[in-house]
Amino acid sequence: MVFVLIIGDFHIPHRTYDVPTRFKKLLVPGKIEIILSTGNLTNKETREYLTTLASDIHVVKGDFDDDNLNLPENDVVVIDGIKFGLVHGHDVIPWGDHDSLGVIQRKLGVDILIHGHTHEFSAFESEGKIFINPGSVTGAYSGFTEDVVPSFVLMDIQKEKIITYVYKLKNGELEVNKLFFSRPKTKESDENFD
Amino acid sequence: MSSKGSDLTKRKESVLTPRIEQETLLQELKDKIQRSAFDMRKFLEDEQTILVLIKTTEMISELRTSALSPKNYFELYSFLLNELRNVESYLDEQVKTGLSAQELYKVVQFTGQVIPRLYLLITAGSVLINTEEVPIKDILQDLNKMCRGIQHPTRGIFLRYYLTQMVKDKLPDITTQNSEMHGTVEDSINFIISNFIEMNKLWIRMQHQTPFGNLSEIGKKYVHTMLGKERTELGMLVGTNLSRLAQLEGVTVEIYSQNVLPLILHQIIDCNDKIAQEYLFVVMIQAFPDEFHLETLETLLKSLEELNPNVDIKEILQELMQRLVIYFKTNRAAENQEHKIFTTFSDSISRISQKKVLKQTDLLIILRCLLQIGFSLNLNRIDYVDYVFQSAFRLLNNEIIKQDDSNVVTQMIQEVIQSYNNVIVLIEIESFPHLTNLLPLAEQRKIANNLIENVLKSQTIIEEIEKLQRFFNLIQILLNHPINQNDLQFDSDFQKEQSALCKVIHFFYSDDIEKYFLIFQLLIKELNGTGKVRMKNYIFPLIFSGLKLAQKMRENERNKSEFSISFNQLFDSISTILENLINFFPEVAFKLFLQTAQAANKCRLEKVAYEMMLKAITIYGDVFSLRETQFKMLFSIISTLFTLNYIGNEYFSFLAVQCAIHSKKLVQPIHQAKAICCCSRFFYLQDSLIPTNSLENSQNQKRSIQFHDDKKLVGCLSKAIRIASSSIEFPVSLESLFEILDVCLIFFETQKTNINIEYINTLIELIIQVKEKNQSQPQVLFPQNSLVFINQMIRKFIKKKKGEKKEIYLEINFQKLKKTFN
Repeated sequence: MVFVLIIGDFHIPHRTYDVPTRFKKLLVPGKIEIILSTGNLTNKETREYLTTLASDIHVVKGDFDDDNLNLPENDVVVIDGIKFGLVHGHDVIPWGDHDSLGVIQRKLGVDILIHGHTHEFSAFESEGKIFINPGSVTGAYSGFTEDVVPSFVLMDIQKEKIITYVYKLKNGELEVNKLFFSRPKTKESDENFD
Repeated sequence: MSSKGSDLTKRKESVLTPRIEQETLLQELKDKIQRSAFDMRKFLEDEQTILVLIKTTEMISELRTSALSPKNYFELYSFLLNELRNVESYLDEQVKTGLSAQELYKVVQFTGQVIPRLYLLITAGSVLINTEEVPIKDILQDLNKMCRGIQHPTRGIFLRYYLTQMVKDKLPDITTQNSEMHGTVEDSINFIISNFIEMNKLWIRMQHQTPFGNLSEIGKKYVHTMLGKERTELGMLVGTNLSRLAQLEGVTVEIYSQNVLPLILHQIIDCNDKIAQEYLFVVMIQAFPDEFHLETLETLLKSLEELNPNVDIKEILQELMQRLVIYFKTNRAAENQEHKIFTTFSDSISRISQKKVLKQTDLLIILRCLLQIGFSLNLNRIDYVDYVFQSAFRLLNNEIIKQDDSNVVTQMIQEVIQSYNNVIVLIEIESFPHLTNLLPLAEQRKIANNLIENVLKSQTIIEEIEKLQRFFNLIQILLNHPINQNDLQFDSDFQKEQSALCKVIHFFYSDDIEKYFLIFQLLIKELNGTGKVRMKNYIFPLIFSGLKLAQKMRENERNKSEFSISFNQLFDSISTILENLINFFPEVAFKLFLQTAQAANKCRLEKVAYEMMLKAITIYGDVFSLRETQFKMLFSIISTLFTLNYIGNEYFSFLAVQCAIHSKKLVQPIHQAKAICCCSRFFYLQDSLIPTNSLENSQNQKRSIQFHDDKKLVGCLSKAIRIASSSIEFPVSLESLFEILDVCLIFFETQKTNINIEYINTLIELIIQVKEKNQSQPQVLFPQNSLVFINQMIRKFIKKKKGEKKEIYLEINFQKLKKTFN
């Protein structure tokens, strides 16, 4: 059981002031082992907030992140034998396009691709690979998505499967959904390949 | 017995001896008393009253000395007191068993020396009172009169002190029996007040004694100061009268205000002695209950103003006000009273300040006390706070506050902030910003930061424009204080301060469009002129505030709510701000122009969106062409353009062509190829934004207008292919070609473009050629991850043959690809 926090697009203090209180109460140190953040924090303060939640933190550079943070463009992390790819998503053209995401997934050679930027949660499987967008944890303004709902994802990686908890704040009410994925196969099977 | 000792005791002049001699003398006198006491007690046991009296006289004689300092005299007196109490008890008993108290009273008056005579008289008088044979009133009056015989300050004061101690528990009160003999509380009042007045006179005179013989001026001054301290402590003796008075149950608030207070005040004011006034006023405040002070408040304060100019009124006022603050915590003042109390204080303070007897710092301290009074009376009365702040401001005369004073003022302000803990209330205090403006820089910043923290913690939204303006008045200092080198550090306090300010801006908005627009304009006014360093931070929340407003306007429009602000007004403001930013922070302006374009698009403002894109492209062209990050900028433009689904074809195609043109000019071929390939997708837009298999948010991205320019579409793709195959190094060239093939297949699937079977197969052939041409060089190794990527792409393509549209793929030659790369 490995708990991975997938979270991003804070945009503090550019577009908003803080993570919603309701979420802050849930995000307590102890359970979370790794943080994968899609970026757009945007300043050091928010980066430091992440350090209070866990010690193993991976953040990638969003289009509004402070240069001083020296964040990488993308990142690949192996967690419990699964290869995770992490990009912000503003250079996935067009934004949110499944094909373009697929190209990046193949380029990075990962099983699960974490991406953001659209400020809208999404999770889909494509050819045995998993794509997760945690949305914006603060529900920050987006020129792309109307009616942004604050959200983040907590992933529980188990032996046989991956349980994905999706936390959303709809009209001030907390909503939690569970999604189940089977562990992506790292070895390609040769069926259907004629 | 040394001869020296007897010499000292015989001395009659009022000359005090040096300290060591004093201590020796004191001990000698105590020893003498002790020896007499020993004998006296023997006689006491044997009930030889006359001998007891004679021995007592001997003991009391030692109090005739003039040689002791007040403190030492006190010690001697205390030492004697124990014995005298024994004597009193003894005589009391004797009276019970036959001795005539009245006769005793007469007889002791024949004692030779006046000091022993009077002490004995008081003792006898005390015993006489117990018998109730004579009206207490008469005894008290007589004793009082007799004590006037001693006018020497030290001796006289202690004599009267002995008097108070002896009759203390015997004074008539309303709780005691009411009889002719016993008397009324009025008698007690009169007695105590009279005694008080006399003791005060003696005490004051003590200060003016010149006790020494041959000392220099400096010498005299020093000794005078030292002894002065001792004498001051004796004020306690005088003060006990007031305490005793306050203890009388019969002293009601009416009697106090009509009979007692006037007399006390009269004495205090009249004596015109600084030390006496300071001490006694405070004792009076401490002795009598707070309700009494409230009842007589005006009188009290007025008499305070009449005291000797050297008196430290501040201490007295502080004492009074602090007591009342505590009092009000548990005893609410009546509503009509509350205001009167405050104004009585404020009027008095105003008069005192006009007289200019107090230092500025002291007046500020008093104003702080007044603030506390205001709080304890009624926390809802902001006008009290405002009055205090105004008064402080006027007092400071518009000058920057110096160190000592700034502490007091800062404390006042902090107390106000903490008491209300609500920014909405705090901004109603009119004179708040005027006062803070006089504080030193660091204090002002602290206070402003406090206020911001308050908004952030309480998450208070400020939507009224007047309130918001006031808020900005209060935090002005953060917008304009000088910045030094340290502040520019990444982690400095300044940066944190600015970050908090940015956060707080997100609390300034309204659901009412007109209000929100006014807020936005106010934000521009306040933030725009703050200079480069600050604007670098503020520009983001400022612009996004405007964009959020646009979003709200659009929402309202959809809901058919009406508002009077036009979109163009808003976007003009935003655009102007960004224009002015270009020279300082071109990259930031660039990003925000793109954001604005998106916002305008959502509002269905195609022209505005178009213009914003043009501005971004212009900045790109002017500034970024030669930078490392050039391709990222172009990709931003391209990806933004994809989202502008409400722009008409004319505007759209112009911008798309601009993108294509710039794509060809990118420095690195690999970026060129990718960019142009992306641009190809601009030229086929039907129903959905871009041809794709799946896209989140597809509802939002539906394109309203159809657009198809096949020539440009194919042109872009072909160009991309040419660049990839000839200008990019192997094996990266292959990766690029596969990505291009991926895009070609998207168009192929629509079956509506010239990307047909031949085109695809030709591209496949080209890919194979590229591989074979370069693979023949043995030194060139094929990187593993490249191979993996390519094979995964091939797998994806092959799957299409089994997918939904498998028919169209029948003649596409994916197998050849598979063979080539396996």
